[in-house]
Amino acid sequence: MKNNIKELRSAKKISQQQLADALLVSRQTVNAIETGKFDPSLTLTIKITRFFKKNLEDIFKMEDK
Amino acid sequence: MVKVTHKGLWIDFSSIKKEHKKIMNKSLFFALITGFSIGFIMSDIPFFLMICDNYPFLLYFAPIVTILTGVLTIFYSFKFYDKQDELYQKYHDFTLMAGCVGFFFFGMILQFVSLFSTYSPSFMDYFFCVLLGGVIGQLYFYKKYY
Repeated sequence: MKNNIKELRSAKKISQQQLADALLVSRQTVNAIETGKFDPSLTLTIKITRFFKKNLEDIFKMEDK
Repeated sequence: MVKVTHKGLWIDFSSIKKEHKKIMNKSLFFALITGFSIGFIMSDIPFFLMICDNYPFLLYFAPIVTILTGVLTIFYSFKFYDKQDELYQKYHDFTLMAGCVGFFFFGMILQFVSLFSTYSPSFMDYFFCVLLGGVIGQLYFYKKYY
């Protein structure tokens, strides 16, 4: 699963720590999601979409295998 | 939220929130008492029974304390686990799972070795199998996700 959280975060001019605080997760979790190492749960995904005020498809992109 | 450090083998205590630290401290306190009472009963049974001759209540009291504090340790550690983020929860689950795999894998090796020698694995040997499995799991998880 690919995502453009890093770009959206840069556009909002907020750090990983600030995003982590808003989502109530650790900075390591934000970093792992951004780098595509970790796929967030549905709850966290909804929190991310609400934070950036975007649709799910605008943030996350499913890779075709 | 907990920050995992040292290639997955340690956590940064200062990264934990104040209210979560309280829960963790309670969990560690009860774990300490549980470990002490288990050690007291298991380390040398004749020694324990000898003390029980003079203080018979210990014969019943020590196991009850062990069970009670053990339950409280589990309760508070789950409370702490529940309040952490999902990556840490995954790390925690993976560590436990790797510990179980370590127990079976290394435990079977120990059992196999014991067939051809006079050595017979004890509780501590199996404990170290769990520990070794857990450590390998933590290193792997950190490399993959952090």
